Amino acid sequence: MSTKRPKSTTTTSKGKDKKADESSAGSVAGSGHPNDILPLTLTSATQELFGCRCDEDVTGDNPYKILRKEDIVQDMRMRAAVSDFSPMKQLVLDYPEDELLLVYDRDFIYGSSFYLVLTADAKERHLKPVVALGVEVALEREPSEVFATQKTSEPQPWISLGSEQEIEEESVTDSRPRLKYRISRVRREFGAPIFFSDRNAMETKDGFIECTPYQDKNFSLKQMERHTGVQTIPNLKSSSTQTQWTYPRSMCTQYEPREFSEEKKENCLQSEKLKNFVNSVASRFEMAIQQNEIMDVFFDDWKALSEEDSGYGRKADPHLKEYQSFTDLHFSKEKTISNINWHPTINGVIAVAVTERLSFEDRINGSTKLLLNPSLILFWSFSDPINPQLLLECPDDVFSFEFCPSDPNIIVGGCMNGQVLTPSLSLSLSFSLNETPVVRYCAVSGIENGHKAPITDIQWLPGTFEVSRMGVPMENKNGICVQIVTCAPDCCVMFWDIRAPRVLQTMADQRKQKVEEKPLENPHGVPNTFKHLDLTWKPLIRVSLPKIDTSGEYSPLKISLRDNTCDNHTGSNAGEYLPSSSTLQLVLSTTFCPQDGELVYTDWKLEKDNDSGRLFSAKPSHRFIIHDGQVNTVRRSPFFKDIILTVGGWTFAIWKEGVTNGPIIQSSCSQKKCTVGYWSQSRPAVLFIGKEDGNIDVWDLLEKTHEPSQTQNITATQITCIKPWIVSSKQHLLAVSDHLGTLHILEIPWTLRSPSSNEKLSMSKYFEKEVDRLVYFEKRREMRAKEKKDYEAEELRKKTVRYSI
Amino acid sequence: MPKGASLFRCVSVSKLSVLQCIQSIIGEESYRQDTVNQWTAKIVEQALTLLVKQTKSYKYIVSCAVMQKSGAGLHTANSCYWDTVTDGSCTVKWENRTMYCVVSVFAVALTP
Repeated sequence: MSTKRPKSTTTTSKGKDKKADESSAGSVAGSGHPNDILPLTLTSATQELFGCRCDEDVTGDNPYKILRKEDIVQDMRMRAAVSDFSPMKQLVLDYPEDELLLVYDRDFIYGSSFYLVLTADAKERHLKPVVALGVEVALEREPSEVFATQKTSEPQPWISLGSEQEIEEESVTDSRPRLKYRISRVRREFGAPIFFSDRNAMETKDGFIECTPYQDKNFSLKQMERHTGVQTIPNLKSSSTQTQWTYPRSMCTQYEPREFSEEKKENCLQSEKLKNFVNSVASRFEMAIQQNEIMDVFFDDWKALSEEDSGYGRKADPHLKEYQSFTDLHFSKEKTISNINWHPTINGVIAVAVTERLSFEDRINGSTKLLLNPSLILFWSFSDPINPQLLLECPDDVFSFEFCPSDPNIIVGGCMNGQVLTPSLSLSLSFSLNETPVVRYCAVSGIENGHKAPITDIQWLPGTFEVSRMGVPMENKNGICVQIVTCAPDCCVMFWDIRAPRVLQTMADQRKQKVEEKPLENPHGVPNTFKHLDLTWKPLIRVSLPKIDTSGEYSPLKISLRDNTCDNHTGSNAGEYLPSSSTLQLVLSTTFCPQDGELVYTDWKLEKDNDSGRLFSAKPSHRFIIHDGQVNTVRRSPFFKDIILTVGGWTFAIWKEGVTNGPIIQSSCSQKKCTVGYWSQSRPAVLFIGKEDGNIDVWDLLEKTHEPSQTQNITATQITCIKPWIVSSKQHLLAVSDHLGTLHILEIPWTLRSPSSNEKLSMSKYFEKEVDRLVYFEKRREMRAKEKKDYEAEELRKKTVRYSI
Repeated sequence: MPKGASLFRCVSVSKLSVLQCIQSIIGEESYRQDTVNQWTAKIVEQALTLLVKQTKSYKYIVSCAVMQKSGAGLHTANSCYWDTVTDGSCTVKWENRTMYCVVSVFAVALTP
């Protein structure tokens, strides 16, 4: 147990607390108490008995009470078990001294209110230290540090508090006495020689042990699941090819039928077999050919029985349908169209001559203004109805113009002032610019050489003819048209040649020509084709028309040439054929004054007057007055070469050449004046008449002859020109121009363009019938006249007889 | 005592005895990890006791190895440097369905 330890407490308390601290510091266990004290509880009776009442006899300050041993023993005897001291009876008896110390344990430090000190030493200890401690307490009142060392304390004897037991437990001591052995060995056995050697593992069969490994299914884990990734990729394969480049070569193959060689052919032809065969078969062959000639075995009677019924539905619409119309605001305003011509080779192109719409007086009055406006021939194309494709500039208004039949690039026109001009179209008409190209005329005749009046008709001589200066027609070997005929109301018919006059050339002229052959300037971009004619053009022949009965001359308006073309293609067989002058006749329409319409039939050959040697033209052979007004159209039928149509005034008439009695057909007077007429190109019996009020009359002579079979109004003003044209078998067009300057293109319906079967034959028969009628009519007239004469003679004779009697 | 002959006799006898001792301890058992230590200790003790009972003046060294049958392989070998006349050893391999047991006994003579 602990010895007196230096106070290490900070709390200052007197007596009991100190003691308590001391003793509590000394005790080891929390609930235990030192062995030399014994806590006990005293009842109040015992307390009174021993004079140790709580808080009266013993207090906190004075907790000690000395008790006598005898008193305690007596108490124990008297009260035996009830006595509080009974549990420690033995202890009390064993106590060596006479007085025991009882300590009042006020704070129940040991669990009871009192405790008894059991040993004298402890008693002494309790009593004495109080005294000592009391002294110390008086000394050390103030709180101080721990290091208060006992400077003045003396070494006390060690009091065991039970700690030596622990030490004893930890220390190592012998639990039993140590054993001693003694081993001895015989001396001689020490250091005996040893005989060691190796015993290797391989030497004995026990040297090595092996447990061979094996596949144990219990310990082999089969992997049931496994995470793997799989990726598919397309199978990529790169490869290349290279073609061999070969040179391209053009090759061609030409087939020829295999034929016998020449020799073999000859042999064949000469062979006997062929000769015999031909001889044997010839007669039969001849018969067969003759039969074929007699009758056509392939003639289809059934088909020819009826007319073509195709297009049955279309028969209901016999009207001319408007296909297109052309008007130009710039060029044909205030103007009228005087002539129309279809381009002979280019499809869909039509040329129109545009003239001023003024009377003669107005023309003179406004002549200065007219000079500024150029006169034009417009070219229209079906592709562009608004802008003309080409403009031909003319010095003056053109009344009539014609394409050259052999060379469509050359046009010849007759002007108002009597000039003849030839514009030459070297441009192609297929392209169209934004601005209409203007072409100037190539050549124009000199004014003094030309007509004195407006040229009303101009025509090309057919390519087979050529007229010499003497008026003798010759054969034109070239086949191209080089000569033209013009007529004007100045009583002249002129023949012109477009070639350079080479008859006049002499050596001097040739030299001059050479000098002149320097390239001339071309101010207007006009080709030099007709430069030789420009302004120097003179007519080849001038034919005047003297009147038959009276003097004076006819003023022709229109010409119609009778053409007998000779066939030049079979050159080897036919010899030279000079057409006689009599075959080239002219049928002229003349007007003497605007009201008369005369038809003159003449031959234009110049005869030589034997007397003067001058050339003069013969008188016309026939003349007829049929129409009431100007004869404005003289046209031959395209199907019959000797049938002529004349239109004038209010009627039209059909003539046959050679029949000089009169027209074979003459129409009745119509309501309005007939202005122009034309035969149909495809039907021999149909003709178109244009009227003053813009109507077109379609006459079908096989249908009815007293009135037109069809009338159709085209425009509001008078119709100035009609020209039909065949584009294709399905499309026939009719070009109609009116007084306002508009060109209408009409489509001819099927009924009017497809001929009925045998139409030509029927027409010719009809004409013959009419001719017969005329002849009969003449005969009857003669007969009537003769009858009348006879009757009158008879009457006279009767009268004279009566008188003579 | 005739050392060589006795040695051989000793070997076969001791082999049998060791086998018996093994059989008695782990003959019916299956391999168990928590008791195998006890088995090896027992085997060694018993074997040693049996050998010592033969009252020959030998030093005995007994070693025991128990291996679970798992398909693995085990290979041991031993070699000695001794007096080949007087000393000897023997090795016993025993197996059942689940384990192997290898016991080796070395006997080194003590000079009397």
